[in-house]
Amino acid sequence: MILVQKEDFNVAEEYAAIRDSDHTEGAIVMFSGLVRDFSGDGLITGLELEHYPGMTEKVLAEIEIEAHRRWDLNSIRIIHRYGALALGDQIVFVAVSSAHRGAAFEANQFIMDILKTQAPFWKKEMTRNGDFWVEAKQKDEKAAGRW
Amino acid sequence: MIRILLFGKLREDLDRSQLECDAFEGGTVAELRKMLQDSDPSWSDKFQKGAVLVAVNQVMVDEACRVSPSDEVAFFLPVTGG
Repeated sequence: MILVQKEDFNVAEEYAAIRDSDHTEGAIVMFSGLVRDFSGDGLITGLELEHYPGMTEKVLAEIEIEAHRRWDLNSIRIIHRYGALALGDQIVFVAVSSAHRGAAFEANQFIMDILKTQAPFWKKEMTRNGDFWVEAKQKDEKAAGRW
Repeated sequence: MIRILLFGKLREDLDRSQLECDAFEGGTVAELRKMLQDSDPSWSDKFQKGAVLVAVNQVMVDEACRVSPSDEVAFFLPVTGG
């Protein structure tokens, strides 16, 4: 399941939905990404997340298909927000369920690594010194490259 | 003529979310990129190979991909979601 939305999400509700959907899974691995102040000096006040409507959903759906192809999984839920976000807000949620934890852990990391380099989202940081577009990081390219 | 979508910093730098390239009647991504670079002196570095990514019909493509005017083409900087 893929959701690209402005609204916040509730991790407990997402977890409950996965548990209710199927009783053959033995493991659920969940990841949530948050807005943080990585300047270290309290300068960042929030983020504006832009995306490419249509392509975003398409890329996320392809990542979901590829994860199912690589691992024996029960379900995948990906939620990614866009719009104005404040410090501490939730940005992204990925949950993977499977019979065993190994597949769920690996698939969750795979989804996040590929999402970060392929899904068309762009972050703009709001700081006390003005607004700045976040530049892509080489370590994210490297993380995606290992898959 | 082809209509091009712009996102993120590129959209802001060019102060528009779409642009039109009248002269383009079809060709490769490389040819379209060159045409855009030549159409405005300040766009040369903005559309440089390696600096921007290109999606055709919402799929990321490389320089050799063929583009027709009816395709949905988008230019943007490397993505930073997640």
